[in-house]
Order: sequence, then structure tokens, then C-alpha cells
Amino acid sequence: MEFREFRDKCFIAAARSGFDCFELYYAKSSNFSVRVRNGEIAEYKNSSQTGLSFRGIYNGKMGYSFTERLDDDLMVALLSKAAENARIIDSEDEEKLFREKAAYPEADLYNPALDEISGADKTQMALSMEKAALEADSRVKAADYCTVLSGEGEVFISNSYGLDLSHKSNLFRAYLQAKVEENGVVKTWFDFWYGRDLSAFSPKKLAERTVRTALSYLPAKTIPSGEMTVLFSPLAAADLFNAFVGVFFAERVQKGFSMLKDKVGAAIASPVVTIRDDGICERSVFGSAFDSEGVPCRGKIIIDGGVLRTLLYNLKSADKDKTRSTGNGFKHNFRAPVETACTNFYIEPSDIPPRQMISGVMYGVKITDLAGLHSGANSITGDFSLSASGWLIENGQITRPVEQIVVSGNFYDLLHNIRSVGNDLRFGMPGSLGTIGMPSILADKLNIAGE
Amino acid sequence: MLSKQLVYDILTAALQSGGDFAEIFVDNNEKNSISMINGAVEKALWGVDYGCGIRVFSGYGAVYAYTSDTSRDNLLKVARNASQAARNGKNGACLELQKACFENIHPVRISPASASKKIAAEKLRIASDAAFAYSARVSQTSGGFLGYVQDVLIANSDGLWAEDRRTRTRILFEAVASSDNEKQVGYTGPGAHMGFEFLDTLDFKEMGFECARIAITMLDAELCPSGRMPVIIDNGFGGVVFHEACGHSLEATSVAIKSSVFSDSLGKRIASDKVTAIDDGVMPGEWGSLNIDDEGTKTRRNVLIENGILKSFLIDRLNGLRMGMASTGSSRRESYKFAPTSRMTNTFIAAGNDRAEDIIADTEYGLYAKKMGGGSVQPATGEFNFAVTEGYMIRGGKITEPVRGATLIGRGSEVLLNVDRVADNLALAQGVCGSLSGSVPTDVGQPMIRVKELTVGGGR
Repeated sequence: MEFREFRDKCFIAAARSGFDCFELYYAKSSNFSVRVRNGEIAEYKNSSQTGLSFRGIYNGKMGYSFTERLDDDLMVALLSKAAENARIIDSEDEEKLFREKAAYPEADLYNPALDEISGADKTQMALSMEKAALEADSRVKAADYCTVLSGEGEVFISNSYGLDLSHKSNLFRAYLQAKVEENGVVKTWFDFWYGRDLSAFSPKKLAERTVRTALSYLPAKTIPSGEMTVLFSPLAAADLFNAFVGVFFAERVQKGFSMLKDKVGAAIASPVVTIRDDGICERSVFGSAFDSEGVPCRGKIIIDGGVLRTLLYNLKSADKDKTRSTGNGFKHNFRAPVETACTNFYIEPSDIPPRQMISGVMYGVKITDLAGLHSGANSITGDFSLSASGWLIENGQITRPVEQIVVSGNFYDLLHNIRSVGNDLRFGMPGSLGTIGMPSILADKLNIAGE
Repeated sequence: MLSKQLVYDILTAALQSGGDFAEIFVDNNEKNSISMINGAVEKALWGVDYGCGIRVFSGYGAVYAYTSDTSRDNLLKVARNASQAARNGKNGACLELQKACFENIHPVRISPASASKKIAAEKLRIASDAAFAYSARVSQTSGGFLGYVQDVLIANSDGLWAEDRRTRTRILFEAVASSDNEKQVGYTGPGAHMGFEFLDTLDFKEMGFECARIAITMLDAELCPSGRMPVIIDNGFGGVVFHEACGHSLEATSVAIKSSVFSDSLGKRIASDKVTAIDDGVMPGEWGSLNIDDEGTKTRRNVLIENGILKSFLIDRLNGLRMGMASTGSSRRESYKFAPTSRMTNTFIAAGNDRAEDIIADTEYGLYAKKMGGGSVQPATGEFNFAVTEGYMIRGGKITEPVRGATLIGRGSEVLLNVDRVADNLALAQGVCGSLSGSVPTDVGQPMIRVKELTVGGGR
């Protein structure tokens, strides 16, 4: 059954089943990827997928259900299970669906030209990426995960207040990991390209950059333990913020899972830090005009010169704090209940190049890679202790590669200890909590464990 | 699910323009869950995931396609397109489909997909009440129940037709203790390849106390000292060390393409002679167990390391072709959205002869990692990291003050050789392991072990 037909039938049945108001969220996507190895296709993948989620208010409580199968039997189950789920909710939070007539930001996240590129062309790009990596240097042993991907997605939201939105986007991606070896020491580096304008993509350049970076870590060794100043590269900083971005979600603050309770208006970061969250942002190819509740994703300043200006809200958490949703009510996937996520969350870059940022650092490290973020970061306390690698900084200069260190600190302290931010903003790939972009960040007083 | 004739037609279509081998995976997964905060149900969810994955081998490469539209026309189209993309392979043919025979070793009494979420909520409330009763400094609790019934049909052009049902039930509970500027968490997440009756095997009051105890202990803990030191890792979830430091590097996914540090180590010493490690997919009712893997091969008990010598890898069909070795029943995937590859099931270090109390008494100075958090590994270099969620310093053979924020890092190839004591108290614990073919339920496990020296990061 097609979505619109299913929706019309389902809405009639839902009104009869005792729901006061209800919503259908429907996501449709198709994806392609090709991974090559040693000049041959290792994996070629094609997919098309649809998923639908129902939610509705039943006796004052929100009930949810979902399905990937659109048929009449499941429609009955969806409504009865959603009602059953609503009945066991204890939470007294007031639930609502979006009923305003709103203006939405212009979003142009779809390039039809991407559809024109054939599977064979994409395979060719992956092969030339691998070839360029293997030929770049005799120390290259392999180009692992050498992959080209493309995908498009479409989201539809309809509710019983007449909301009827849809949004389409597509994206092209390529990535690889270069494995290099010298005198028995192995190093790897992973890098990627994404975008919608393929004229800006060169498989060869991506491969060569990845190899160059991998080689630059030969031969790394550890350093003595101590407290020191750290320069986080943009993607390492984005990874770190990704582990802690939840502290800015009103939902988590209200539940006591963030230390930012009553901190709006207070200085929670160094004055050099200004953080924005923009639904549509010319600096990023990601984004959305509306969130999973249909609320417009407006641009906003979260931290202004170190001062916390707002938290990120969905309809429910905004209601609790007697404010308006900031358009950050997102589902992690079509099945999940609405929670919170950022859109394009980033520290406003400065005009200082990273080289200049470290000119006053007598001894420290530049961290370019962090591992263990899902286990070594405590999103409640802000404590982190993460495996890292990067470079030694001595007398304002980068001197040699460093590996096998652990960087430890506390996210809330780190915000205060940021000495400067760079001019090199870069966005990582979107995760379940949104998309995060960071410039280089120079922070003092981090603990490094080495030997 | 799908009829035998349709499946046969799909497999034939998947080989019509090329391809050596074709496989179909049909997946219907009914999921049921609740999550609670402070003993109150916040979210309740039910739903069905349904779709189909088609895989075609062409030489050492594979084409994978999946779709949630399982109409005959669409499936045949998807199969034909897959065959087109695999056109370098020789044209295989589909043999007559024969039903595979295997025993179901995981009997289920109550389906968790349709079980009473009210009962689950009542039980979790007992844990929440116990945690709050333990100390006034317990400030929050969160609890969850997850259950699913996954029906799979796996058929391939060798004539395999296998159907199986996987039923899993899991409980998650967490207590948060707070002071003015500090919060710490105690967590547990028991699960089983069982029905809703699994809940009757758990002591929810004890669960609440135990999580509260860990959170309160860590609230009062100092930051862990940094540096290299002996580390004693306790039994149960401590097995995550082996899982990360070694298990992933034994998966054919990285071995076949020689990106694992152990690629050329079969028959060689990779661990101290105290270490014997096993991946056992046939433990009845165990969280990581399966009757058949996601390629339809019967699971089994694989001895990976015996007294320090590498005996076996974990192998799936495609990587087996690349390696010239047979499948070990280790091919797994999260759902039809993933092509399967070699993964762990219930993986643990076998019990040794030492007594836990002797290992501690014989340690002059070091870290006692009583509870481990998660971790990760880079298979190409073997570098791993993981978090210690409950740790204590050992001084003069005695467990002394608690320490928080410790992270262990090292290389898998070194840490296993440095295991110098292995106790007799093997225990398993449940987790979800994420990798190329998605997130799959796995058990980790070990008795208490001591590692001579590891890098500990801790913030002090």
C-alpha cells in the first residue's frame, strides 16, 4: 500500500479508536554503496527501505507503534498497540502534537544530478581511489574500506491538525582507510569526503591526503604523563562534542542528566566560545527545514561569548519550561519516540589558523584521533578518559607523532579552559544526536597518560 | 513468510546474469519495549521490522541488496539487478530447496513481544525502590525492558532452506548517585535467549541495591592515578578485554584481508600459556547463542586459543572462500539490512586454577578493575581502549580506595601475552557488539585475570 492511501485509512480508523489527535511519520530511503579491494569489487550494495511510525494521544498519554510493512492487518495492530502503550505510561508530562501554521526555512538539500551517476561510474571512482592510495607511496600496504556511497531520503509527516510536510535530500560520500607500514610499525588513517556537488570531489586527492596523513604518523611513540595544553583537530573536537552534546538538551537537563540546570544566562564557557545550532546552514551540506514533530528548525545561538543563551527543546520539554520548541525534536530513527537532537551544531570559527594557535605553547599535544567515545565518556558527569593519538607540540612547533596516550578531563571544565578556536571549521558525519562541526580547539589543563 | 516457489524463483533470478552463489534472508522482527525513569514508565514501544536481503557471490566479492517491499515483482527485480552487478561470476544454478534439520535448544514459554509490559514495569519498580532505599544520595534511576521475536528464513542456491525463531529478553537498570558537583552511575544489563520468563530468574531488589552500591562507591572515589601498572580484571563483564583486544582480530572479516595482527598466527603462540579462549554459540538460553547462524550454518563451540596457541578464527562463508577455510558457524547480522559477516557469539576466557583472593594477595601495587564498561579496537594495529566503571587501588596485596575515571589502553597482541594469573571463577555477562554487520547480542566472559602491566589513564 502507498503511504497516502495508508494514511487516509489509518486516520479514519484512529479517530474511531479513541485517539484525541495523532500523527504518522513516514521515512523512505534508497542507498547504494560499493567497496573495492585489490582492484575488484568486494561488496556492492543496493537498498530501498520504508518505515512508518504512528503516535497518538489516548487518554492524555502518548502511545507509539511502528512498522515496516504497510498492510491492513498491521494498521489494526498499530492502533491497538499504540493505545496499549499509552495506557501504561506513568509519566505526567503533558504531550502535544504541533498545531501551529508555521513558516519554514528554505532547504535545498537535493541535487537531481546525483541520480544520474551509474553504479559502474561509482565503482570506477572507488577503484581509482584505491589505485591512487596504493600508488601514492611504497609504504602503503592497503586501502581498507575503500567505499563510494550515495543515498537519498524522503520524510513525510502528517497529523490530525492538518500538518502535511515532506522533505527530500540526497548525498554522495566516499571514504577509505590507508594502512601504511615501515620497519614493522603499522599505522592507519581514515578520511572521507561528502557533498552534493561532485565537481568538488577528486578520488585521487582524497586518497593522497589520506595516505599523507597516515605516513605522517610513522613512527609514533608515547610521551611522559602529565597535565598539558591540547590542540584538538576539528574532527577530534567534533567527536568529543558529539559525546557531550546531550548536556545541552532541555529534556536531559529536566531529568537531571546534565549539569546545566539553571545555567541559562551564566558563563559556562570561555569568552572565545560561541556555539550555534542552525537547521539550514550554508557552511554545512546537512540539515533540515523541520524536525520530526514538524516544528521549523530555526537558527539559534546556544552559547554567546561563553554565556549559555538557550537549551535545545522539543515540544514536550519546551512546554515544561514554559517556552517554545527550538525545532530540535528529532527521532533517532523512524521507530523511535521523539527525543532531542541538534541540527548543525558548531563553534563559530575565528580567523586564527591552527599554526598560530599553538605558537605560544611550550609543551603540549595536538590530538587528531580519539577512540573509545562510547565507553570512555560519561555524558552525565562530563568526565572523559579517551585513547588518543596525534602530535607533540614543543616550543610552539609540531615536532613528532604521538600514539598510545590517554587524554582525560571533564567536558564542563574543558569549556572554560578553551584558550582559542581556529579558522578551520569542519563538519563530521551526522550521528543519532545530529551533526557537529568544530574548528581546531586549544584547551589547557588536560591530563595526558603516556609512559 | 515467502513461499518455496517464490524463493526458488528469486534465487534463480539472482543467478541469471552471473554469480556463483545466491542467498536470501527474510526477517520478521516483532519488538516490544518500555523505558522508565525513577520507577515511572516514560516510553512504551511496539512494532514490526520486516524485509528481505539478497546476496550474490561473484568470485571473492559479494553483491548485497535489501528491501522492505517484499512483493513478488519487486523481489524478482531486486534479484535480477543483483545478478547484473555480479556478472563477472560464473552462472550458477539453484538446487532444489531442502529443509534443514536442527534442534531448537532455546525453548520459550512466554513471548516477550506480546508479554505484559505492566509486569515488567512492576518488577523494574522493585529495583528502583531498592536503589532509592539504599542511600539518600541516589538521585535517579532508569530502567528498561526489551524483548523481540525474530523469525528468519534463510535459503540459498546450494538448496538450503532453514527457518528459525530467535527470542530474546533483556533488562537494563541504572542508578545515579549525586553530590553537589558530581554524578556517578551503577549499571547492569542482564539478557538471555529466552522468553519473558527470564524475568523470573532475576532478583530485582538485589539489582537495585547493587547498582546503587556501585554509584555511591564511585561518587566517593578519587580520580585514578595514571601510568603503567599491573591490572587485575574481575570476572564477568571483564571479558570485554578479551572481546576487544583479541576477539575482533580473530574475525575472518579482518583476517581474510590480512588487516588483523593475527592473520598469520594460526598455530602460533599469541597469549600466555594460562589463556584458553572459547567462542560457544550453543549454550542453551545464553544471550549470544543461536541455533543456526545468519547463513543457516549450525552454530558450535569453537576453541579459539588453547593454552596460548591460536587454534581457530571465526569464519563466515564469504571470508572462508577468501581464506580457503570452512565456516565456523559464526556469520551474523543485525537484520536484513546488513550482509552477514563473521562475528562473536558467547566469547570467554576459560577458567584457570588460581583463586581470586590469592591473585589480589600476591599483587603489591596495581589497579583492581572490578566492573568494566565498553571499549573498542582498531583491528589493523590491535590498539584497544576500555573504561573501568568500578575500580580500586591495590596496595600491599589488599584492595584499598575506590578510583574513578580509569581507562585501559594497549595492544591486543601484547596484553594476552602479559596475562600471568587466571582464576577459577568464570562468569559471563551480556552486551551488544557493533561492527560491520550491525549490532548483535553477544556474551563476554572470563574468570578474574591479572595483566602484568597496562597503560592506565585516569586524570591524576
